[in-house]
Amino acid sequence: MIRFDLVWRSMNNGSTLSMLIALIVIGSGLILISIFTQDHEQTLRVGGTIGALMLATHTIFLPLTAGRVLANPKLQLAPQAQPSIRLCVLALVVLNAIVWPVIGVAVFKLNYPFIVLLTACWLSMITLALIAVAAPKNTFGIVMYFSSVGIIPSLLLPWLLTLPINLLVGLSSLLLVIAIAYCLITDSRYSNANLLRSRQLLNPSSTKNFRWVERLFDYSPSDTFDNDDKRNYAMLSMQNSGPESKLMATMLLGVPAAIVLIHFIVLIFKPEESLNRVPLLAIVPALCGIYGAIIAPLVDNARRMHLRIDGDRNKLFTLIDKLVFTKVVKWLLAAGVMVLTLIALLPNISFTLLDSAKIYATVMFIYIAATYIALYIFSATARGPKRYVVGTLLYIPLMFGVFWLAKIAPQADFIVLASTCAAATFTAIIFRKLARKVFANKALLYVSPKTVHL
Amino acid sequence: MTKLATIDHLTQTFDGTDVLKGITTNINEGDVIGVLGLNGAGKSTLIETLLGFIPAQQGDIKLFGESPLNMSLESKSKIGYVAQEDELLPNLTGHQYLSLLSGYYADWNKEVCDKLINDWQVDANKRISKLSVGQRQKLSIIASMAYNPQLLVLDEPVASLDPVARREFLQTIAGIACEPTNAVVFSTHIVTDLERVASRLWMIKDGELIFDTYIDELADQVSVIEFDGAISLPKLPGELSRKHPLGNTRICVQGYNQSLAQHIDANASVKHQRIPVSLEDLMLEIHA
Repeated sequence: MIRFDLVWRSMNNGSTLSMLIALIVIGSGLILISIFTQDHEQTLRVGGTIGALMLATHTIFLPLTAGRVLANPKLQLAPQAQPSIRLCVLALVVLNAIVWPVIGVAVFKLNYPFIVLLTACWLSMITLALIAVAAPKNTFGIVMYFSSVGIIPSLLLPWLLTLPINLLVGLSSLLLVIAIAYCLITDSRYSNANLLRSRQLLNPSSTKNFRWVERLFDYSPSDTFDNDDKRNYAMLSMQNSGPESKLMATMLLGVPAAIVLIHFIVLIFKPEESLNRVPLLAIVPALCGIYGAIIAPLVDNARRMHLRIDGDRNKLFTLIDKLVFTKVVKWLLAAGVMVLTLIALLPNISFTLLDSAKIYATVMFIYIAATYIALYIFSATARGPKRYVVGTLLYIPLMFGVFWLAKIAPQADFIVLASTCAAATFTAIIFRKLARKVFANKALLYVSPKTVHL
Repeated sequence: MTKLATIDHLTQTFDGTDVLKGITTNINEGDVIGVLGLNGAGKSTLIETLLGFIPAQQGDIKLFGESPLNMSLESKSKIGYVAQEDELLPNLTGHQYLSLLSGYYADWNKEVCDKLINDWQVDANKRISKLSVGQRQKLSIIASMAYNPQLLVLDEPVASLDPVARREFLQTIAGIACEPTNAVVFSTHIVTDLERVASRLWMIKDGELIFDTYIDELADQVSVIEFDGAISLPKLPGELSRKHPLGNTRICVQGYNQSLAQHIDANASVKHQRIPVSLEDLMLEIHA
């Protein structure tokens, strides 16, 4: 008998847990805010919005993990496994199609912007369902992954633009918190331990330097491995690290980049909005952005390419290892982001100490410059970050397209809006596919001899 | 002997590099094939293409008479596979993972599963993400053998196992090989493991299948010819490698016979000595 419950569970890669944790933390904060401010209506609205966004985040991760389960070699060979997984993906789609309207009715009383949002999400979900049914097995996970990560935030924009800017920025930051929490929970221990193992096995003299890091990962290197084992294990570790590092890099880089763009565009379209709280909030995506722009590609780069690195550059990687490969640093960052976001969401608190617009623009400029400089530098030495450059660059025209859509939304016909959303979805998928062709990116599925030289 | 799989002029090119070059071979019932080669030689690509994870760019593959890209459920149920990378589902416990897979196979043998879990001391109640690499590898192997597949394909199966588990695993493989209708294909770097259980060798170098031979015929097929001192000799027919250790000359040749011996004697200034080679010697002669 096919165990659909286990198929579902295998698809649910820790995101439910992280979502629940975040819901409890944020819910507690909102209750406190509600008690102190006595502004129950506003709190309800904020809470509902956060809940909706968290569900949206959840729907990003479930198709992603579903894609990975479907691409699992063991399940590709198991008779009937593919249909059962696809059935679970479709169940996920149906579930989301039900959950969204319920939230809409309960929290937003189904007003016009929410209908736009709902339609967009439905279209996105239907697209995912089509991909689930029709895509070739090896490309399924990749296509689904990029389409879902890129599109859902875009589709939220028409509705986001109707919100006050403070709330918008706060919500964007919250989205980041969720993304980072997810990455921290699912990625750090696994990927860092892998990297350390590879590094230590191939270069035993480096082991001494990492003793204190080892303890954080409950890792002890094997004494029984011979040289062949070590090389093989290192290769295996790097292969395994692919999807996680991709997830981490995209979440930490792609999402902040998208949010920065949102901020810019909102500033252009709604300059009359109060910017009192923006400076503080801007620190949130800036911190995440710097982390995502510099650290994530480095981690990815190091993981894939450290065998080819020598001399001074190796020292740089070692330094970065020491700086960031600790749970403490990551959790501090996440906790800081969470606290800043909650503070920023508190109503009736004004931050007038800073010249808000100038600082905001400066932070964003630094962020974007850091992002692209880091990416271009490291794209010269590794294949990995090139993909993120392409992904981010492709994302920009898509975002502008959606903003244009948002601008015309109040006047546009409903059918026009819906079909434009669908077109944007498919355009993104095609762009990603083209990018893959251009860069011959097959590294998700195997490590070619050209990629790794042992 | 029935052929379980045939590979005909298989070529794979990635990023302009020929990873596999015109490989032609087959898998017969009763074969225990050890795939030997250095890292990057093309072992995993060969296995992944054989099983349909990567489409063949040139050439043809038949697995149980079908294209591996479009296999029937019956054929799929005859294949066991242990991937080089970890293919387990990290959110599930070991028992849950096996339970999930058991739903897809009519011939799933829970007793075999339980016995191996017990013998190999796998903590199947733990979440897979919490298991050590060796434990995960054991679980992966168990999951591939629980339905008695006719063709068991293992990509570097022992890489993460300790010596004791490695020996137990090899014994299990030998047990499977006792079934005359079964076949096993496993890639490895560890020559001694291969010698212990394999009946046939595929040696891959730079994407080429340079040896496809039964192990017990290897000694007849490949020889090392040694000369005292460094001699000048034109390239021999079937010559695989030539070295000059300690001022002497060693030539590894395939297909040593009477006429080749006469040819060497006619051209060399000193007498030669033929030394039979072990698999490990052969690996070193060709790759070192």
